[in-house]
Amino acid sequence: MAMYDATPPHGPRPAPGRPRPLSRRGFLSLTGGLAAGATGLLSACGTAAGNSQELQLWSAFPSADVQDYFTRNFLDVYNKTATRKVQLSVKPGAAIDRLLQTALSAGGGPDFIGASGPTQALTYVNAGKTAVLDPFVDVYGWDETLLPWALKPGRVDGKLYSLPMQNETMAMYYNPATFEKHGWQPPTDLAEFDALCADAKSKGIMPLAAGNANWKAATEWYLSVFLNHAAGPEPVYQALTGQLPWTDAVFVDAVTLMSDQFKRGWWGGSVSDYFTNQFVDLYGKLVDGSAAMMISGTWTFADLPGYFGEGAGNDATWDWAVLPQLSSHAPPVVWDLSVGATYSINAACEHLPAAADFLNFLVSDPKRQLAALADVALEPPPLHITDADYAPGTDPRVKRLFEQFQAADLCGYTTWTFWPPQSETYAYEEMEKVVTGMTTPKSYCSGLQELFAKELATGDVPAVPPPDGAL
Amino acid sequence: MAAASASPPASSATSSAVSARPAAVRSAARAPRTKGRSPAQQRRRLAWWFMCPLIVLNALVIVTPACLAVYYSFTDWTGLGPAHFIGLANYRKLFSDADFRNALLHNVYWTLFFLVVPMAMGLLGAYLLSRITRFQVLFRIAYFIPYTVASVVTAAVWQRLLSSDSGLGKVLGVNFLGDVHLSLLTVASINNWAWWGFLVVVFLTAMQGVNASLYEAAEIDGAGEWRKFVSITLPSIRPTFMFLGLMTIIWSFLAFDYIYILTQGGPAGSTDVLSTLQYRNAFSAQQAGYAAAIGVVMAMISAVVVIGYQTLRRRKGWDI
Amino acid sequence: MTGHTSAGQVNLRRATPWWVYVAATLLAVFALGPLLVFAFNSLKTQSDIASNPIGPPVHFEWDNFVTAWTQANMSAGLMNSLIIVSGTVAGVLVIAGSAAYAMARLGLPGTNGVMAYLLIVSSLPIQLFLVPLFFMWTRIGLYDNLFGVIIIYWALYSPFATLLIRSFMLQLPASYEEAARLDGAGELMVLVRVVLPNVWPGFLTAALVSGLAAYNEFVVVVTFIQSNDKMPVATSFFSFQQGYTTNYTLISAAGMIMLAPMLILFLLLQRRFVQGVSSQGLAGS
Repeated sequence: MAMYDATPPHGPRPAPGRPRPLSRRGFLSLTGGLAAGATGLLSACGTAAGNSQELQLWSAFPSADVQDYFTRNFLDVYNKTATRKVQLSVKPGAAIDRLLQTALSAGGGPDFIGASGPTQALTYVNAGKTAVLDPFVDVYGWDETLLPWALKPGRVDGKLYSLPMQNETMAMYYNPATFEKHGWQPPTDLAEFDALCADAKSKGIMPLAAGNANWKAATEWYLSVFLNHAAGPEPVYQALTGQLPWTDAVFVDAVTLMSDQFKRGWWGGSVSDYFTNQFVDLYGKLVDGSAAMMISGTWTFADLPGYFGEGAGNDATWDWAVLPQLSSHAPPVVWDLSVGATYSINAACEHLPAAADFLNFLVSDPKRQLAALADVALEPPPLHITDADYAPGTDPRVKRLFEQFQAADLCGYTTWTFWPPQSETYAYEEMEKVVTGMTTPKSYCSGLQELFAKELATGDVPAVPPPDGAL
Repeated sequence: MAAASASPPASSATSSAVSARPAAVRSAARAPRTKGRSPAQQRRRLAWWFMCPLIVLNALVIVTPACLAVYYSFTDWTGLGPAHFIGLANYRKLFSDADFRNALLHNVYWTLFFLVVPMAMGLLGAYLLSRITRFQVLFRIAYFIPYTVASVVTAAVWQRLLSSDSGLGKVLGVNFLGDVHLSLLTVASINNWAWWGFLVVVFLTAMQGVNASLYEAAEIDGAGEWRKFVSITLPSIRPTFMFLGLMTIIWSFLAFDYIYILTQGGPAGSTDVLSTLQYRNAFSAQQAGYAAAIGVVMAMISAVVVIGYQTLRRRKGWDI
Repeated sequence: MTGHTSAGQVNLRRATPWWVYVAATLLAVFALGPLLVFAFNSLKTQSDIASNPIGPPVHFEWDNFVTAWTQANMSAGLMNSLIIVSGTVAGVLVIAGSAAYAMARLGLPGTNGVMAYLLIVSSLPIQLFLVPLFFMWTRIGLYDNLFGVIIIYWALYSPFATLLIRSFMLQLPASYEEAARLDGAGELMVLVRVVLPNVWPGFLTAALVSGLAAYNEFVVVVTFIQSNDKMPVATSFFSFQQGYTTNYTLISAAGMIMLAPMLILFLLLQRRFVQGVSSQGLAGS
């Protein structure tokens, strides 16, 4: 129930005797004085948008460790030699989008606009809140230092508005000991995947540790996997560029496959449980063998050490495998392209070159980026990376993934990187209705097509690189 | 009683004192106060001054944003860019939007739940407390404490308790928050836990105002507990009861905190209510104009409820 | 002889049936049980919680409180909460008290209309105002400012406090005030010296209610406060839910810390409130 609660009992009667003496208007003037004093004091404490001498950066971090690391090894390092310093204001991950939106719509907001992917950045770009970054591409040589596809999703109508900060992909994580115990191998195609899941379920083991209790949009991780590995990157590319409608059979089949697997209880144990599974518990299940696999992004590298091994008080280990092919339409091996974070510059920023300088700092120096990868599993931006750049302490499994990822020749498209914003929201929200049986895959796809076509028509969509030769 | 006996002597004393004074003094004593206006008129003018802070604040913080919101409801504002006038398009969309109907329906369920369960528990608790002689204060404190807990904390407490991993959900083999058929009831129940204790205190206070002799008379007539409760207690606390009923209805349409924290309107929209729908449209769907229209509709529903209540009051002569 | 006990309850000289105590105890378990489990959890380690979800902790992990306190910067948080709550309560009492007096006693024209308006205003959703308010607040310089938040709370909580205090005032016989007026007192004095001392339970209730609401509120705070050193405890929770995972032991510890001040305050105020109400009851018979 809400905030104010009170009741007027019809009880109280005046106390017997005379009214008690109270300090006079003194009490009122005291209050008035307090209020005035407080106003003065407190307004002095806060200014409209922080110190205007420094550049304002709003960011959310997955953990205190990462926040710490970023502050010490990136922010402080930059500020030591910067002409214009950058001030960080940490926001809760769940609220930062809303805060940014509110601030920007009121004409305020920080100098750096962080988003959880190019798709989300589009919201700000389409509203004209971001500055054009093209002049700085030549200054800093981004088209050479960054991977060829990297600048594409940040472009709208040919102009560059956001820079990618985290290069990610999707993978399948598992506990080798659990696999050994049950005689399993990482699946490579749908048949093997089905067999493993069915076997796990029959033994009371959760086939895929999945859940969206902590992050409602997690459903789009799994949807991206089904689209890329069951429908295939080529149809997805065609749909994203408007050549193929989302109502095509290949997509309906992919969505149906996802829905069927959910209903069979493979993802999260059951549909109901999927909605309440928290990541803490899911990781725990991987450790103790009550879950077989987890399909997630490479951001998981940051979480795993906290649950596996000495630091967590057990001797469990983890490993990763390439995602299986989920239908004969799709190619056997696809690496889903994801940009997990982008920064744009506020169009109202008064110090554009200084801001661009900081952005450049964040996407340069592969060694520093990879040191971050080794220490706190912070994914690097899509830079060209050579073997020598990897820090000595890098986890070999992590290194193996990024090496293979870089060498890939076929990429898939994640919904938070290459889709327009409203379609992305529709994708994961309406999917909940599909898996609970409240709507059909067909109507889901037609609703998606309707929305996507509208966004495509306005041209407010990210530029999409073709599936091959893009990496 | 001092209060009751004070009034007649005071006025008669004053009036006799007044009439005892010479006319000049009398008018002099009165002159600075009235200046040609009656005291009542003077007071009425003063009333506006006393209302000033409330009115100013209200105009600044509520009325202005509300007017802006009404304005935006007629535009296609995404929340970020420019706003273009589109007339009644948003309102027309409301009536055909399945999500809106879904949310409205859930608000109705929510209202019905809160008109019944916490009210009944509050009455029960108050009744029990009124019959308890020892430790009454302790019980009252116990019942009230959940109300003082922040919604974020309550949500965390119950989420773990009902968890299908390690809590009641596992024991019963049910997923309280994840099952689309149970989720709304579960969230409402969690909210209820934090709310009913407050009603206990409210009702208890009201019950204590009931004239004890009524109970005595009923007992002499041989009335049992239930009879006494229904025929004496309930009617006597009716104004409080009705008022809380009104506020329950109004607040039910505002229900947000627990739903947002626990399920954000999910799973699959099974706990979606008007406020979460509005919130989602404003902040994640880039449909701030549509969200504003939803907000306006919510306000209109409240207005209808309030006006209905006022009418009932006038017809039946109750007072808040 | 029927009278009122000091607890303000009617004594019918009949022993309380045993089932009343049973039912009352069951309700008390329902009310307090979950909080007890929560308290237990605040003293466990993460693995302890996994193996023993409901029972008492094996070792008492007081460290959780220290970690929660420092990680969420709760000393600053509690200070900010104190400022917000006291500012809100002071303002609401003044605003609502004056307005209630105007409506109850000063014969404000159109009182019914005003009441309906206030009721409707208390029924509007806060989300409706967030963006326009933010727009205005950044321009006036009230953004990222505790006072800016306090003003919003004044506007949000005063309407209802007004209605509440007004209904208390309506119970007061007008004769007191008449006497004071005839003695030459100005309206402000009448309010402060005559009305106030007699309707203070209403003020106390309004204070308790709006104070509690201000303490627990988080939507406005998260939107209007930017700097970490100005955040009140209500938002401390979010620092444990960063990213994708949650640490339940720390959440429990932080929750207990957050609960403590309000609980203590309530326990203190609660008795006076009851006293006040029951002494009125005494005069009533």
